[in-house]
Amino acid sequence: MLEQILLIQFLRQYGKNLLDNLDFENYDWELLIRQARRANLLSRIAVFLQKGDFLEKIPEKPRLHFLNAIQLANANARSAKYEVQQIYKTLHAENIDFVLLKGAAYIWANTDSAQGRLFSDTDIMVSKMDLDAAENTLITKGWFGEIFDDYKQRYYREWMHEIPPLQHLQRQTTLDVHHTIIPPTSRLKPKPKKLWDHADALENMSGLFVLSPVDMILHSATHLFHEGEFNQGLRDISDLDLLLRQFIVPNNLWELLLVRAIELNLERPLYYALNYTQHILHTPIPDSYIAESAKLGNLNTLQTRFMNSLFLRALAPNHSSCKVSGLGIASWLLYVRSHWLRMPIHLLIPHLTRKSWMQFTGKSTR
Amino acid sequence: MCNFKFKSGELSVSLQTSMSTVKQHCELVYKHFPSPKETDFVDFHVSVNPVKGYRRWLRPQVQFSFDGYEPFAPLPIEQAPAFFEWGLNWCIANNTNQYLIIHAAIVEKNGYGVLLPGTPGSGKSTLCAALVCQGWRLLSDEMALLSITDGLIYPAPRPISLKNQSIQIIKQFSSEAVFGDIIPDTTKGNIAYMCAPKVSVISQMIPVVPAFIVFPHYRANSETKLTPLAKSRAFMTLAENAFNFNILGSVGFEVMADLIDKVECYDFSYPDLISALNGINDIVAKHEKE
Amino acid sequence: MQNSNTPLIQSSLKFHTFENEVAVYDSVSGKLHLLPFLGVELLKLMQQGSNMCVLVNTIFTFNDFDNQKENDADIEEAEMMVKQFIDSYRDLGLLD
Repeated sequence: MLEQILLIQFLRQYGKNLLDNLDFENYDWELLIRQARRANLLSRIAVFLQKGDFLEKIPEKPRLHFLNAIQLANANARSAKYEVQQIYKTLHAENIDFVLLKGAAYIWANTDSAQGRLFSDTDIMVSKMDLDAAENTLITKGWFGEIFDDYKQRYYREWMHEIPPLQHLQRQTTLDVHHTIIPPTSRLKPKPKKLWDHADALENMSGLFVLSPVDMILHSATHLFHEGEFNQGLRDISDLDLLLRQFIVPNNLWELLLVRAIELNLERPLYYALNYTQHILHTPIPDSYIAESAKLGNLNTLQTRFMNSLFLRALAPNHSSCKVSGLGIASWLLYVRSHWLRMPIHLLIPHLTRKSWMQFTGKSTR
Repeated sequence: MCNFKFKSGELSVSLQTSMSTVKQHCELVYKHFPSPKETDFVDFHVSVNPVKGYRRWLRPQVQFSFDGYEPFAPLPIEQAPAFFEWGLNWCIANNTNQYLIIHAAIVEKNGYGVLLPGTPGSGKSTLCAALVCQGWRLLSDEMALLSITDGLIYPAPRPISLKNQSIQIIKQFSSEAVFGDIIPDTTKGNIAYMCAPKVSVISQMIPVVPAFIVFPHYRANSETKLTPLAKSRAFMTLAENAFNFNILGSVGFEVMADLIDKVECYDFSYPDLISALNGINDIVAKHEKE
Repeated sequence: MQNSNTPLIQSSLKFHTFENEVAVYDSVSGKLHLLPFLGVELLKLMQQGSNMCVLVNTIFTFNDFDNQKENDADIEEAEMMVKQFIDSYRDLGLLD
């Protein structure tokens, strides 16, 4: 099923360094562009093509879409830099250290996963101790809470790993302030202190950090496989693929990755990350480590087979040309699962009931 | 389900719709537009269809989709043709960074491109429609596509959107103008689309050299007044009116600077359509004499 | 870890000169301003890290009264101007 999707074929070819084998004149660029745009990967593949000096070989009409996508990525990177500078000025003045997460971290640490990465929200993590001070400081400097609904406020503050999103009054940008990488009510319990201990400081910016490369991979995996938002699933798989190829593959650091996953109690998301990047994008991961991570994650064959059937559907691009049967039910099951993973059952049932009621009455759309 | 394809300048569009109102709209306003060949690259695959679900019985709505992505909330079903036009504007504004995209009408006569940047109420669209009825070539009534590589403005003709009283004014002004049905009660009031003249469509692959930027200001009971505008001011105003100025970053800044350096800039206030038309025609005529 | 950021703010400023003014654009912050000539001269020098003495000299040259450099009152006035410029540029986000 995945083999037939042009975008996936393309990403695999890039991974094998075989893009120069493409028939640039007659390739189905239109389909590739459509699938990639839908998967939020158009800028990334445009950057891949640019890096290989292939853009000039592509017919003009599709080439313009790639150039356009590169412009968007550059603009995104510029504004991500500026946004972080503003946050840094604000928090550093109060001696609050913070870690950049996800897209902003990739851009600042200049990882391969920064290539053509588009994102709109900035995600940071402060220590729980600094959380109130950080929120108050940000609010005095122009960031405001977007959520006024009492129930949602309580939902964030009691159960989530972040405070309700903040929005900058003039720039309209969104800032998510986390205190850990996964909701505290989750079954998985990575200790934030362990993440801080390994975090890398950014040059010339004392108090500003990114997660260590290994932790970046584990966080990306946890985010994808535990948050239930699969609309950008393939983009996230591509992030993982690029991070693994940059930091783990060259020196065979698989053992290190497994050990770290055990330390952080993130064995299962690691298994999923390794399994699906290999399966979907042919990331060169030794099978023995995938088997090992499945064992560490306590997953038996029946479970993995069932999860496969769900994830592989949900991770395909959501474009009309790649529709797979059973996508609706798979997405729903994964959505329920993500809540099941982060909330004890006595919290979960009333929460989902309330959510579906709000949707039914048209007061909220998910 | 019907599939409607057309080319507006350099851009190819493929529309899927099950709605007869949208189909009729397109058959009228895109009548003279060429269709891309089966093998041609299509830039924008869009669809306009009724929203499914139980609420369609209470309040039927329409949704616009750009290849599966829905950038807007649904609208009342009567506004479907307008939703298509707005949705396509959105697609172009967000996906053609080979141009600096300026919120302005752009028309041409004798090789002179005239940009009419418009603040709401300035009368930009009315003026543009009247000029076009007089034989000026329409490049766009909404978005001037200024190429970042050669500094020329590329046409992307589409029907001209007219609001409220302007509809009647243009209908009275020209008996030849062809209009679609009035779409009532949109966020912009009542609107109607005037077809782009056939000649503008035939020459839609020919870019123009921008020669004048005229900021129109409609002021009832005033004198017609053409005032040269300091280029620095024109630059600042135009930058604010460019959709993708910050996306293009320093490239956008340079392209805008080149544009402003080579054009003449004017503030133009006028009390009625006829004086406005005379004024704009005079600018070109005066230049041709010199 | 490598940080690719540091030089961006400095090189991100673009200038375009008009008859009486200069447009200054910072592509990182997306801010666009119209500034007077003298202001832009001073801004460029400040960004190169020039000291007060250079900035004051620029004001003298610009205003064409370089023979009066010895006059303490003029120097004081020029210094005041520089400080005002620095303040207003900081407000505009053009200086850190």
